[in-house]
Amino acid sequence: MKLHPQHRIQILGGTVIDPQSGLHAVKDVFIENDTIVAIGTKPQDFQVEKTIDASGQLVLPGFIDLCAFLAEPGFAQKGSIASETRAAAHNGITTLCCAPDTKPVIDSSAVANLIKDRAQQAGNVRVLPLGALSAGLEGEQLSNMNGLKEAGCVALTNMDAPMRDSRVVMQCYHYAAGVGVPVMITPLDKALADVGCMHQGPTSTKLGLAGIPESAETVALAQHLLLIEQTGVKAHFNRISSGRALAMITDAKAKGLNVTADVALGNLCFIDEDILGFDSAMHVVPPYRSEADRQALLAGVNAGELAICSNHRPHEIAAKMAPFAASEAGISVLDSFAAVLMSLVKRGELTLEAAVKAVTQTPATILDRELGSLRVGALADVVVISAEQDVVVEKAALQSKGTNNPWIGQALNGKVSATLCAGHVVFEAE
Amino acid sequence: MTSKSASPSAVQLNEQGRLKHFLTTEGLSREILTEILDTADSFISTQERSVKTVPLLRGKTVVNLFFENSTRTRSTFELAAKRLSADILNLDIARSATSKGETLMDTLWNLQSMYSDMFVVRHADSGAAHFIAEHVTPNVAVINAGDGRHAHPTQAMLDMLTIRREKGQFENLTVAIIGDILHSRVARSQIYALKTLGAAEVRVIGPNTLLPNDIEALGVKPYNNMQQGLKGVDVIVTLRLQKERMQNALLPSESEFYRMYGLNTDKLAYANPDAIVMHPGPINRGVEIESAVADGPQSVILKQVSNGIPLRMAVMAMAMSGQTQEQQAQEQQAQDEQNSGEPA
Amino acid sequence: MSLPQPQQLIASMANSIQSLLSPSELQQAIVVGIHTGGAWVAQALHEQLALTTELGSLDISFYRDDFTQHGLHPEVKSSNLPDIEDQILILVDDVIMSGRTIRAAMNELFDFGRPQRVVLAAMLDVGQRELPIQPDVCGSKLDLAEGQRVKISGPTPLTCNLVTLD
Repeated sequence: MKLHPQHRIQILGGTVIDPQSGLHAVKDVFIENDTIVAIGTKPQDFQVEKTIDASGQLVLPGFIDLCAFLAEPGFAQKGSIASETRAAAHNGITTLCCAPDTKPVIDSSAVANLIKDRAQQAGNVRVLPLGALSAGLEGEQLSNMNGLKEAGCVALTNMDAPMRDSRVVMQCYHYAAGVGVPVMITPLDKALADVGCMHQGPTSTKLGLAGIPESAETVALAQHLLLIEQTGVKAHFNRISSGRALAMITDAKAKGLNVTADVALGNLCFIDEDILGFDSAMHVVPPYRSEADRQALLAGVNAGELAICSNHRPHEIAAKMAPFAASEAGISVLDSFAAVLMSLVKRGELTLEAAVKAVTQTPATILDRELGSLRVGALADVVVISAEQDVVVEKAALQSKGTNNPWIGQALNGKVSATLCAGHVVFEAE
Repeated sequence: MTSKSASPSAVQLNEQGRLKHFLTTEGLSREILTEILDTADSFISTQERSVKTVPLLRGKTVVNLFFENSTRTRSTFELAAKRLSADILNLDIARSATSKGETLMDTLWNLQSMYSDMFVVRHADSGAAHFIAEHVTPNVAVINAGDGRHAHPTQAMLDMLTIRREKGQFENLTVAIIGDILHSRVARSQIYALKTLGAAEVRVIGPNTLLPNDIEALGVKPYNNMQQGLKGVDVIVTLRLQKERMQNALLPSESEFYRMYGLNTDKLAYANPDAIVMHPGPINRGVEIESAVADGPQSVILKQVSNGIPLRMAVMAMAMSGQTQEQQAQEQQAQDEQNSGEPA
Repeated sequence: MSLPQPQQLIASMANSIQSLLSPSELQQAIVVGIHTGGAWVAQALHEQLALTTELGSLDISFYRDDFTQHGLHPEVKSSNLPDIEDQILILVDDVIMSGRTIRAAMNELFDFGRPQRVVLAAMLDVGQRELPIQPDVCGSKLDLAEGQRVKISGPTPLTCNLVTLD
């Protein structure tokens, strides 16, 4: 992190919410260097160097994003670590796990270190790389899992790249369990997904677009659950898309399997019918499914079963300027992450507590890190947000290089006024 | 936050609600579909004269953009354009050369710069014609000559023209479409047109692996059995079965398909005695239809072919007219804005 | 200004045609009306002349030169002509003004064949010509004030009314 002049900061008059300790009250927060030193009463000899007025606003733990694509190295036209983490800081994110499908792939400590260095130079948010589960994400050979772990990769994943067969999957889990590194899985049966580019249902039939059946997710999920049980690997399901997948994970947990899951923010907002105009912005992986699935996933967040990740995937204009199936998949999320999350609360689809927990406490537990909490002695990752304020995401104000933000021009609620990462102000609204 | 949910249909109408592109039969009003059929009827009379050309699109440039090969369809569009006195340019663009979106756009922008007035587009991707009309060249009238599995609206409308000329109306008709509905853009466009034009009942008949999931969402009844599916039917549409369907675990064999779903004289007898038999061509005799039926008294397959030209003339004339209307409205608006901006 | 009655105009047009064509020519002549008003006038004229030849009608929608300005008329009727090759035609319209309709009609006629002779008959001539085309036979001439138009209703009874454009 860059060294900023202020070392003692007070955040006054905000409603402090901390899901971990159950705190929900108007309190002042006092920060010295990178640590929260007091909540409530100002410590003696606290020489204030900066005051943030949070009256009428929420003071929350900094958000943790379990999966975002930063486009660097390899995709300069889509974004850079500096641009994408700046968008994250503008949206209250203080910890971000970056996807390994860069060019080159994060399958060596060299690439992991490069990313950490670039992130440090940018000085916006804490970047934790996700390493490749298989060498080159090719799904054939084990990656250097121990090296990746030592280089700071918090988990290993093959993202959306297929594994050659179930044996390679089993071997990867088996090895990872021994190394003691968690795996992240986006379950998808490649054969059942076939050439599909959207959820299989009435809308795909109407549009004549090849569908990805729900079973492509659930069949793979069942297989992964058995292999996780067999190998004892610590596993997290990343970006699940169907209500049935959530139910299977909940069942597995009830039977004692130690697994966790998250959902992409977009899958809480959009459904397959949003593709009716062949809108290539709605081409994403995993696909937007039915309204019933969306409702089940919202319920999963409200029940505390799911974390929320951005699944941020920035693209240049040309990537989306093609017929639906030929366009590149993904939406740019980071520029509107906080506002979209708060809008889901404002519309009554998520409770405030559940929304906050899903981007703080839950992902911190998944990562097994001392993060995402506002208590004395904790790392000072803090976001101050005016939760109900009307905002419109303007194209000209985008920090991410990604132009594929589906919320551009839409009326949303929730404006971040300050983000602190380890005690440093990494974003402050004018 | 959930988005606009625009119907793919909205793009094809100008501000006066008239056709400016022809991309899909879905979402078009009964009035517009009927207008297409009426206009095509008028063109049929011009096709019976010794001089078959009318000067309607004189000086206009129509480009046949076929990203998928189809000599047959391309030729009928070419002939239709020529009968309207348009200049026609045929471009067969192998899909491999334009699989990247950027190249596709560059190709189109180049063509637009050559003062093209209309693109007739066939593409392997569903939504391709829609994409071109909405994002790439909105000032060029786009006619969809088949996009992926999505739509083939001119084929569907020439089938509607054939049905109307044979049966007089749609209200009391029960129509059955047989075969590979899953991959058929023709079937989708026919279903929408038939529902809008008021057909009493539309059925699809085929093995489960060739019927799309949720096909009922289109307002049709699925059948696996010909005897049940053809009972009381007035119009039978057989679809072409592609050879590659025998791979990829969709069908066991041609012979099993023919035994179950091939339209032969015996199965034809399940339908009403005055039922007509249609096929969008090219026919696989002995796969989806028996020769005796294809060439029999109930077959209107050749009439479909001859209705293809006037129907395409009608759609091209209407879209060009709607597109011109829109551009004039835009120019007028721009002029008005300029005038109002001037100091008094 | 009161408008002349169509019945009188038809009678006077019939007289003019009878003096223009010999009886044998007239007997074989084909009357062709231009949609929509012209077809009504043609029908009345056909009856008045007691002709036994087939009555033709012409829809010039596909031949208009203002297609790009006004688009395709939504209710195009089909043209219906007997064989006109080497025949004498009486081309009939209700009102002749700019002359553009007649130009379009002549272009279309020649796509059906090469007539021996075409006689142009208009019920009303309101002047304001934009093309060098004049009727051989005319029921009556009329001077219209600015913004005035003649509206023909039919087929039975055939009536003329003056309307003022907004």
